[in-house]
Amino acid sequence: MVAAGLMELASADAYLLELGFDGERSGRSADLRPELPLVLQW
Amino acid sequence: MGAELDHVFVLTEVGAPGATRLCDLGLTEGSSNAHPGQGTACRRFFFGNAMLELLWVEHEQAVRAGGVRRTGLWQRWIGRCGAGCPFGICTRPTDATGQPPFTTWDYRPPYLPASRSIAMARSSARAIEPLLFHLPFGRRPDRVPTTRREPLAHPLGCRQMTRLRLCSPHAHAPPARCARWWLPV
Repeated sequence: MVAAGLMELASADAYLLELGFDGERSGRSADLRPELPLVLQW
Repeated sequence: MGAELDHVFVLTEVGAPGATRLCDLGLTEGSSNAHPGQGTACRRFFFGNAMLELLWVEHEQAVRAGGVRRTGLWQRWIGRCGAGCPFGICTRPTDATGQPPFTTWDYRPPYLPASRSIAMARSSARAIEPLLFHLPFGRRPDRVPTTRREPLAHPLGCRQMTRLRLCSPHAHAPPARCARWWLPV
């Protein structure tokens, strides 16, 4: 296993999960709210 | 050694219609699953090192009964748009001696063989926190035998989950040790 990152915890007004993929090298993201409390970054 | 991320779940409305957004974005959906006796079902997206699960309650009576009740799944699901934390975070051992990074109780869901159990965080009933649990038998999706392997290729190009950030109105009281989990690559 190579450590690539840590789970982070942040304060916010509402629950949200941010998932990063592949070191987020492309700089692109998708906010899936309101359907899902989820932001993907890749 | 310790533990690494196995999968995360997001509690959704029945049927997880939000999965369509993920498919439209360019993620390949894997097999769906149900948890008989626990009262939940899910749609899943697999990556090389971890899995994203969209989970919902199908049978209220089951999820509110017996040992399932202590998981806090019902409170999280029914409160997912308000006070309940709609997330679960599951770890697995990094090797044969890996232990969960939190104190646990032994959860024996009805859908698992009697020889297997899930190490459920003692904080499971605290619905304002993510549900933390540990699968002693968990394995990377890309190490599952090819005959049973889920689709790992995504048109979007995503291969490995490399960062996890949980935003919470209760972040001032983080779950024990949750900030020290390594993501497997």
